[in-house]
Order: sequence, then C-alpha cells, then structure tokens
Amino acid sequence: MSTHDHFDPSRRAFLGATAGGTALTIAGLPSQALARINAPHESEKLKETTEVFGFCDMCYWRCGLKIRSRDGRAVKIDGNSEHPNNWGVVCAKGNSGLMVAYAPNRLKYPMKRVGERGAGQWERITWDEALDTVAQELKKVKEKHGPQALSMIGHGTWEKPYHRLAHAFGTPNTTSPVFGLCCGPRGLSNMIIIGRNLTGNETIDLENCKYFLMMGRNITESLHNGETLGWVNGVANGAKVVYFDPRYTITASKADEYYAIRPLTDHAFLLAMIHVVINEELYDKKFVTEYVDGLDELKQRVQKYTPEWAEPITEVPAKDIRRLAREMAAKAPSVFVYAPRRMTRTSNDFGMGMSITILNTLFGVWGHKGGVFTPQKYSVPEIDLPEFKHAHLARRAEDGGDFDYSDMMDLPPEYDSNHIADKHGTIYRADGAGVPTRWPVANAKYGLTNEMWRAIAEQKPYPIRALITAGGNGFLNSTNYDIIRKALETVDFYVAADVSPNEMNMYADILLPEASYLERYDDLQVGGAREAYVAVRMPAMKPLHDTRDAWTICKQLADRMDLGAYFPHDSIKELLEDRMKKAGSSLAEIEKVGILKIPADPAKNFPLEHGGKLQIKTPSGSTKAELIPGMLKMMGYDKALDYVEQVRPNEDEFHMTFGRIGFHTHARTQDNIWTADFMRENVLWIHPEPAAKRGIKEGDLVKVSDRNDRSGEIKAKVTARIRKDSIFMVHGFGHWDKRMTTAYGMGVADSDLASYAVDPHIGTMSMGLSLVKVEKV
Amino acid sequence: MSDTSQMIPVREKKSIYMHWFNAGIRLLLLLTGFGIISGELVRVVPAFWPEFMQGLFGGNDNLILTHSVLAMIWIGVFVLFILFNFTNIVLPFLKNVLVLTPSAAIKDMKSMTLNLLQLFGIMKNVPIPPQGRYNGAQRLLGTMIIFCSIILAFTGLYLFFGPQVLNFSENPLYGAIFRWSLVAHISCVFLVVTGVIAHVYFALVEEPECMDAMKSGHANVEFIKHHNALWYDELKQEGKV
Amino acid sequence: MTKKYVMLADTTRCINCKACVVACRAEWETPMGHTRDWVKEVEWVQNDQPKVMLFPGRCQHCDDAPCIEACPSGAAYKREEDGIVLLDNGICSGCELCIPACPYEARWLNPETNTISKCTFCQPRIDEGLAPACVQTCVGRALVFGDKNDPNSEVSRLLEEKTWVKLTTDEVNVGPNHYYYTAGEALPDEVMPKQYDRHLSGKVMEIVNPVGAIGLGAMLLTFLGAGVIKLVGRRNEVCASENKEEK
Repeated sequence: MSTHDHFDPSRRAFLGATAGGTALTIAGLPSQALARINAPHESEKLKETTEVFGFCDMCYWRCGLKIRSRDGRAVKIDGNSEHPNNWGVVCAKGNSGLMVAYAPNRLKYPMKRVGERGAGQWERITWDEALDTVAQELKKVKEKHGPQALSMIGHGTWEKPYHRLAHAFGTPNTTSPVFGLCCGPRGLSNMIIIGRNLTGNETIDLENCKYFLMMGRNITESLHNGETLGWVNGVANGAKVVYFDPRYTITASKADEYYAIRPLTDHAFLLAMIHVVINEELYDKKFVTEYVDGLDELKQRVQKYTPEWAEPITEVPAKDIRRLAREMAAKAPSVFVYAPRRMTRTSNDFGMGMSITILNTLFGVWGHKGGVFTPQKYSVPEIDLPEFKHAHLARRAEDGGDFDYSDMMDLPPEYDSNHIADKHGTIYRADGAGVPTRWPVANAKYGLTNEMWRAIAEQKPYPIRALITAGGNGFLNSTNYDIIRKALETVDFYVAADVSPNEMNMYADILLPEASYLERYDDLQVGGAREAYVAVRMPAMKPLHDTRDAWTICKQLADRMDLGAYFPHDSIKELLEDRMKKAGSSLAEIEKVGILKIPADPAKNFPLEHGGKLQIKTPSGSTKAELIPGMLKMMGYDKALDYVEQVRPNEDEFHMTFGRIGFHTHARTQDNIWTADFMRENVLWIHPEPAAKRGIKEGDLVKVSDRNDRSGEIKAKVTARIRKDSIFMVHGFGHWDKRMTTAYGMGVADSDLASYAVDPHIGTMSMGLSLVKVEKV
Repeated sequence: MSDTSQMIPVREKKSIYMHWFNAGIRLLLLLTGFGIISGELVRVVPAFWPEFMQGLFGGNDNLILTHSVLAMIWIGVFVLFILFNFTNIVLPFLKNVLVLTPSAAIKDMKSMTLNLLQLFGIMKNVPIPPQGRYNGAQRLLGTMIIFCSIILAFTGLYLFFGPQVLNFSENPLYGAIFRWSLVAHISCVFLVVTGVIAHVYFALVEEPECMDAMKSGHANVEFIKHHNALWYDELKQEGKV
Repeated sequence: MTKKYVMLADTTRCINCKACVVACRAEWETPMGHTRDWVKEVEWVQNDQPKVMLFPGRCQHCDDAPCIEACPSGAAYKREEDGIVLLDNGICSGCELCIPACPYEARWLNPETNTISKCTFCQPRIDEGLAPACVQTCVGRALVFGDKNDPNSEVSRLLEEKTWVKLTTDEVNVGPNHYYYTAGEALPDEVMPKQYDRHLSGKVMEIVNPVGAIGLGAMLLTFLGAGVIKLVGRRNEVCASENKEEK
C-alpha cells in the first residue's frame, strides 16, 4: 500500500511553490493592518429628553434654567441662554441642583416631633394632621398674645407665600437675612446717597468698565454667573483690576494689582481715596455740578483722611493711594468701586458702604457706559388681595423682589415708649428695623434677622410665642448659637418648612416637607437688567415624595385659619395664570420660552450717553445725590461717614476671616453630594510664618478659639496666600445635624467663631471683629 | 512469527474520543479567538473575520465569553481525563512523546528534517533511523503542543479572570502580567497552528493509515514495522504481535 | 475635508468654579469618586508674591495617543472623521492597561460598567450639533470647542488671535489637541504630562505578529506544495502503469 517508494519529486515545483507562498504571504502583510478594527465601533447616541424652563434656587442670583428630563425624572440642568442673569451658563451649584431633589436624606413627608425639642426624634403624620396642628397652634398664640406674637423667618425663593401668610395673620415680624446678615450696608448706602439699591442683581456695565477697584469683592468665588461672566469679559476687554483682600483669592490672581490690606480697614483706604479725588479735583465736574450735593461739606470732613493717615492703618502705601485715585479718574466714568457682596464685617460697614457710593458718584459712574446702567422693569402686577393690617412695611417685601430698599423711608413719625405700637395702633417690628430710637435706618421690609432672633430669645420688646421658618439655617447663617438655641427653645410653637434637614429645622414641632424647585411651579421671577424680564419656573418632574409646594401649603393653612381670602387661587398655577394675564400675556405663552423680555434700550440704560437726564430720588426727597445724606444728618447718623477705629489682634491672635468658594452656597450645599465632592471639610488657612512659630505643618489638626471661649478643631492649610495676622476658613461647614449624612461632623463652623457684634448705626452684624488664637492639637 | 498484515489494537476508545474532542474544540477556539478584537497589539487575521464574528455573536463581550467558556470546558475535560487515566494512558503517552533532553531533541530534529526533506525528494537515499511509537517529528510537535497548551490555558485564564478579579490600578504588575500573557498566548497559538498544519497534512495526505488508526483504534502491523521499527520490537517482546 | 476637533482653555478666564466638572458628571452620570474632567489649581510663591494658575483639563485627544497603542482589546480608537479619541464600551475588557499609558491621567475604570471612562468631547452631543456639556456651562467662558480645520470657526479665530500652548515636554509629546492660553506665563510642572508607560511587550508583538503570519503562511504553502508534488507524482505513476498495461 505504501506509495512514497515510487514518489517522483520535482525539485522545481517544490522550490516554486515555497517561493510563491512566501511571496504571497509577504504581499498579504499590508492587509494585516486591516486587523486594526475600525469598522465595528458604534458611536454612542444621545438619549432623548424633554425640556422645561425654570430659574435656579441654589443661590439668590436666580439664573435662568432649562431642565432636561427623561422617563419622568430630571436628568440635567442647563442654562437658559436668553436669561440676562446668566446668558446660558450655570455654575457647579446650579448643576448640582439635581442632588437637592435626589438627596436620600430629604424631608419626605410631614413629621411631628416626639422627643425633646431639638433631639431629632420624629414621627410621620398625614398632611391633614400637620396642617390642622399648625393652624390650631397659631390660632392659640394669636388669641392669647395677639398676631404680632408670630415671627416668620424665610430664606429661599419660595419664602414669599409664608411672608404673605404671616402678614395676613397680622404680624409685621417677617424677616429675611438679606439685610441684617448680608448686603444691608451695601444696598442702604447706595439708597440713602443716590436712591438706588445696586445690590441683588447688580446693574453694572461690567463688560465696558475699564477699571475695577475691588474692595474684597471676591467675584470669582462668591460668584453669580451673569455677574462673574460680565466681569471676566470686562477684564478680557482690557479693564484694569485692583483687588484688596487680606487673602490672595482667585480674584486676586486675576488682578493687575493686589493689596493685602489690613483686615477691617477698607473704610480708611476709601476715605483717603475720597480725600485725594476731592483735593486734587479728580472728580467728574460736569456730573458733580449737575447731579451731586454736599461736595464742600464732604471736603471739610475728609481733610483729616490723608493717604499718609491711611497708610499705617491700612498698610497701603500713600503713594499708591494717590496713584490709584489718579488712574481711576483718568478712566472715569468707565470705572467702578466694587463693594463686597456680604458687607457685614466691620463695626462701621455703613460708613464703608457710603464711602464706596461716594467714590462711584464722584467718578460719575451712574448712567454712563462702563459704569452703572439704569435697569428696565417688566410690569407684572400682583394679584388683587384684601388689605393687610399691621404688616405695613414688611408687607412690601413680597412685591419688590430681593434687595429692594426703595421704601425704607415710610417711617412712623413718632415712637411710643410701650415699644409695641405707634399711636395709630400700628404694631412695631420686634427687631426694631425702621423703628424710631431703635434701628430707624434699618430696612423694615427684610428686617434685622439677627435682632429678630434676639427679640425671640429675650422676649423683648414683646412676647413672640410662635415661629415659622421657610428655608434657611438660623445657626450657620448667624453667629450667636446661644441666642438662636434659646429662641428656638423659648417659643410655644415652631413649624419649619424646608426641602432638606438642617440644624435649625431639627428643633421644629412640625416639619413640613417642601417640594424641591425641580418639582413645582413657583411665583414669577420679575427682574430688571438692561432688558426687563419675567421668567417662569415649571416642574421638571412630579414630586418624588409626599411633599407639597409652598403655595399649596400656605393656601391650605390660610383656609384653616379663615385667611383664605389672601390665597384666592386653588393652585399656584392658577395664580400664575392670573398674574400673566395682568401682565398682558398668558402662562401658556411664557411656558413656551421660559422668559419674556423687553429688549435693552441704551437710551434708558445709559441716559447720560444719549443726551438724557439721570433720574435721582433719594429717600429724603432730593433729586440730587447727597454726599452727606440730609436724613442721616437730621437723625445724627451721619457720624457713620467718619472712620471708626477697628479692633487689632494681640501678638498671639489673628483676625478671623471667612468667605465663599465657587461651588458652595452659604451653609446649604455642604450636604449636596456633588458639591461636597470637591470639598468635604473646610481647612484653616494660615501663613507659613505664624504656622512655623506654632509648629504647624500642612494638614496638621489645629485648635482655633476666640475670646469668648468658642473653639473648633480643623486641619491647617499653610499658605502664603493669607496675611500673617489673619486666618481664613470657607464658610458653611461644621454641621452637627446627624440627618445631614454627607456634611455631618465635617470641618468647623466659621459662624460659631465669627463676631456677633452689630453695626451701631444700622443694626447689621459685624461678623469680622472676632479675634482668635490658633494652636496645634 | 505472526501475520504481519493483521490489525492490532493500538488505542483505547477514550483516547480517540479525547483526540477528536481536542481537535474540534481547538478549531472552535481558533475561530472565536481570531474574532476577538485585540487592538494594535495583535494583528493576525484580516479585519473581515473579527467583523464577521462580532456580527455573528453580537459583540466582543459575547465572543470573549464563548471563547472562554469553550476553553474552560477544554481545560476541565483534560484535567478530568488526566486525573482518571494518568497511569494507564497519560504517563505512557508522555514517556513516548516528551522530548526533554538536548540529545534526544537533536536526534529527533535529525529524523524530522530527513522526513520533511524526503517529502520533496531530497536526501531520498539517506535511511531514517528506526523510530519508536512516535517518530521524531511527532515527538517534537507533541512536546511543543503540550507546553504551549499549558501556557495557553494559564494565560487564557488570567486574561479572562484577571480584569474581573484584580484591581489593575492597584499594582502595575497586574497589567504587565496581562500584557505578557497576551504575548505568550498569541505566540503559542502561532506555534501550535504551524505545527498542526504539518500534522494535518501527514494525516490526510501522506499517512492515511494513521487517520484510520485514529478512527478505529487499530493499526496495521506491517505499517508499524515499516514506520515504527522500535515500537514493533517492543510490541513483539510484549507478545502483542 | 475632514474635521479636527480641538478644545481651547483660556486659563485667564477660568475661575475654578467646577461647573464643567459637575455638568460632565450630570451629563454622563459618572460615579462618585471619578470625573472625566477637572480643574487643577496650582499655587506657588514668586518673588515673595503668591501666584495661582488654573488649568481645566480632560482627555487631550492626542494625535499619537499612547492609550490606543496600549489597549489590547481594540476598544480605544481614534475616530477618523474628526480625530476624537473614543472608547468602544462593548469591546473594552476593563483591563486598565490604558490608564498608565495616558500622560494626562485622563482614563479611569468605571466600577459600575467595569469599562474605561474618559472625556469623549461629548461625542453624542457634538454629533447632534450641541456644544460639549463643559463648554456650554463654563461660567467664565474659558472653554471653547470647535473644528480647527474650519477657518470660520471660533477656535480658528482664537488660535489665530492669541498665542496658545499645549501641555507637552521634550520627553512627552503625543500631539494633544487641547490648547491653553496663559497670557505668556510659563506652564507649571504640575500640569505637565507624565512619562507614560511604553510597553516592551508591544515591541515584542511587532516582531511576533509578522513572524507568526509569515510562518503560518509559509507552512501552509509548503505543505500545499508538497501535496501538489504528491498529486503530480501519483498521476505520473498511474500513467506509467497504464502505459505498461497497454504494452
């Protein structure tokens, strides 16, 4: 069977075959490259979403939003490019709004307290039981102590119906922290000198400004999208930035010149600037002649504030003060002296605020391109409501939007020594805001939240027995925990409405869970920028839990207290339809676009660039800016114009400073898992020199304590970015509510170390006066 | 003297089943393996094949899973077979096949070279030294396949389970092992396939009798005497022929 | 004309607000602990003055991407029509070999999918004509994205207007497509690319692949040749025996 014996080989054939095969293989090699597979890759596809409009609730700037939803759940927050508050951009906080709604530790259903007040023991109840209890308890307080025995403290875009409910109830004691704890001195200064707020949504022509003198306005970290973007654009357009701050912030890193000014002494620097501007006649003469009163008197008053006087106080060289004044004058009126956002720092913030307004006025920024523009306003009338007794000034808080101080001068002419009501029977505010002999200049719409807490804690000048809070956190946004705690423990009844848990609402007798801003309609946002606008907030999804929106809650409470006439609509949607009709449009129309606008009008925004006149009306009725406000002089408060010596630390002490970071809002976002991811706990900034003296190294745990024996333990960040006599920490940390699962126990509460002194002129807080020691643990 | 044209049993049935199981599953492993996309590192077959296989299996993941499951069946069956037939089949087979010393390797290399050259009529008159049960080429191929298979099995297991079990970012060694495993895996495939081509050629073309023996388990004594003289002597001593 | 997508980051406009990072997280549902983009804050002291620079970053979509070379599964690839470096989720084995290969540390293993995740320049969004999520949300408008090959695009205009730099060193230059503007400031070491891992095994395979292929081909053809010879021989034999019979 074997065959190979007869095998007849052909050598040629073999060699040929082998050679051919090898050649073929080599020729085939390039095709090996084909094995780099490109063909089967499938590109990912964008998932489909639906879109509704809204405005943000993560901070108080309120950017326009478009919210994308999929399968009935909000999945992404985008900016509304038509909205003048943000032109389509959204910050980290705004993007993290989703995690407010999806937080696993949200307040999900109504609860009543079952343990000690503040112990955090709760029992789920029905909405009916919750609302019945609240109505019943409030009625009880009213019968026994009168309507003024109710206080309402709000902090959120949805606080409006609670103000309305309290006013309908008959109390003037509604308050928001915006004046007493935040921007009060800033807005008031502008108002009293030139009759404008210039706070809230600032009306600065940032893009065209050529010179920013920034007094601790950390615009990149205490950021508001539209404002920050406008400023960045202005800087890109060539504006010079001179930045003053004891700390080298990100804003400082963008500045052309940075001065690590001694803490609390900005007022001295500004007075020296005014001195130079007036003495060297660097002011806008045309503007001053036409629109300004009191230059001569001011000149007399500032003669003592020479740059040489200011130099040792501020540590800013006198020659630099002179140079800066001249540089600014050369660029005026396209210049701006920027006040800090929260201006409750020194023992004379009012004076500092007024000196900023004075400088801006001397440079003639008002109504000029690159200065301050005049906003337009969209007319959206309120719904028709019955008269509110007692609420008087506080009542108007709801129709002006935030930060509107324009009605401050409706002062009751006389003060009755019983401290409760004037002779017409109108009840005074318990916090004394707008009350003669107490804080007459303080804003009576928003009140002094700090003084309201004190009034409740001390039950002076009259008993306050019931408390409603709508959002906010009395502990971490104030500075005196003892007073807040005492107030919360003193009242007979406390009801809190909120979306998320915090230290304050832990004390509530009844907890009302609010729907988040992604799950509800809200009242319209009416604003004024170069263009006037009205914007709508629509629900991006159904409520995830057994929550209700503020308007429904207040309506249902009002009905139970026979105040239903103040809430004539069955739902917030009907209210919106009513208001939009009054504004000449409809809800359906605004829901299509999210925002209705009246276009920018240069002639109205910049009247002085277009041959127009600047309209001025100061609170004392003058049609010119008052460099020495007549009303203040009459009441003896013009002394605030003068410099007040500030506290100085001893050798072993530091100025306690605190502030914001771009991805956290106040004390509200530390429990938001997305924003918390960037910073789980705050750290203590300390200069390498004092750190070395104390043996403190980067990351070491240190104890920081103030003169009142308050203290905390915190990790150190050793950095040359802060003055040797100051320490800094990011605001809003140190939460101790165990329900705040992300923020609990992280970092130190700056508010428990900040000063609780008040500005002697206007009653706002002077948080920056605290002096602390630091030692290694 | 016995009748040299008689057929004698040379293989147990289970060895035969094992051979064909081995062949079949390896073919499947080859087909699926070449279908797995392996980036720039491995470029063996033109793109149409992975594309086709990806389409057939509905993605790389499924293909990898199929390849791995087949491989694990293959490993499992082999392990069981070896465990239960170690002394009677595996050990004698290894003794016959493994080339472990250099001198044995040189000897086998010589006979294999002669074998191959004679295919093409070269050195036709040089006598090939007498061979045992497996000739030099078979022994070399067998040894290579055994070692390569062990490497294939271990590297394959690591390639499949490594990324699932280990956190690669923890230790750069894990990634390095993965990468070298892939190199070893592919290299072994090349070696084995190259050898198998010769194996298949001889079975199909040159020695169909061997094919028959792998089907029936019986071999012709004459054929053994001619091709495997040493084995024939052994068989004779044992009285099997 | 094919596209060439690039990202521009003007560091003078970046404020480290992290909006880009959260927008990306929301858009692509990245798990906590990982992000596809970042902002690096670099601080130092120079002439007794503190300095801070901010660098938004993400995958640099390199022309000569080492991650693609490192990927043993073929999941990492460069899209030919616009040059973006993508990852095929269906193919990725999650072996993480590409992670050390990236000089910019842009790649990470997604523990939820067990595949690699990284910036895709928001490929599904840009395919629909939308801007990447980070660009759309950027508060300082520091990020600009577009087609460098389109002379009318904003990126082309900006690249023309200012002097942009890339994060490359003499040792590591793999052709990134992410540009930075620093107003002339030198790039700090902290943002420079890392010496990445070029595997020896890759080089070995550069030999194994052709040798293996040639070996296989040669083997096949050799035995094919042998078969042909055998066939010819058998035919000759048959002919010969037929001839014999005829005789």
